[in-house]
Amino acid sequence: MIMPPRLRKFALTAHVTTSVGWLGAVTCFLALSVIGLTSQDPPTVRGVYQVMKPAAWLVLVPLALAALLTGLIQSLFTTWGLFRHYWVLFKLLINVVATVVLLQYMETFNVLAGVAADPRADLASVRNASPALHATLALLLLLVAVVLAIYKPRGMTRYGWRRQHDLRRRRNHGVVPAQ
Amino acid sequence: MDDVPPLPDTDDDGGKERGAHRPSGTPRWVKVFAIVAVVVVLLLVIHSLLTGGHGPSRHTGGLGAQAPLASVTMEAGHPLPEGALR
Repeated sequence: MIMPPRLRKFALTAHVTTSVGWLGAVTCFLALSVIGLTSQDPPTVRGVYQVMKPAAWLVLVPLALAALLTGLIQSLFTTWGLFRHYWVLFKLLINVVATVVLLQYMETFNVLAGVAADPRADLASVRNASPALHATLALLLLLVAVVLAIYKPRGMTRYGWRRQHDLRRRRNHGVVPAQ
Repeated sequence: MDDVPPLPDTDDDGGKERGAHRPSGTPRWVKVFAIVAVVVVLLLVIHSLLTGGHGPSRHTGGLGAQAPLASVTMEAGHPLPEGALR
């Protein structure tokens, strides 16, 4: 089923908003990570690692899931399809991998927040480079997804080519009206 | 993901068909992406095997959190969640 133009625009707006929002949120987490690693103010360092966990649940996870859901809708209900073009397929993989890693990483945020909340833990124990590393990798991954979405590099999958071939044949026989 | 094209497999600017990119001719960028993905996965697997797992204490880069993270947390009476330091 193909969405009508107005609905398609709305779905596209939702997908772009959530995807770019996710990218921005990851950038903020990278900034927080750098502050946590470099700040000389103990309350600031502890605060950074304590705020990461709730902020991730409130912003990163919803945006990641929303980007995945809107991306699925956008592909399944337009002529792009989900498995027809390599760039769509790669974007799907990037989104799924990043979301799964994020959900697994929530436990790490939990541990880091626990250490940061402990007044007996010294500052060197509270500081952790893991969020900075993961935020950097996530940022790179999401930037690749943005580039794929904008440039849409050519290339159809075997399945996509078969579907297009069938569609052309049916159009030639007048079974399906041309768009 | 952008708006839909007039046809699933036509060029945006000229409407030229992309017949040259049939399965027999997988684009070079797809091969490069696939190779990079495989290399990254392999590196992650090797890293996991060498370090014995994955977790917050594995990326400290000499910041002193690996040993104290466990000891401080246990000392403070906050047992780590099972598998948290894998």
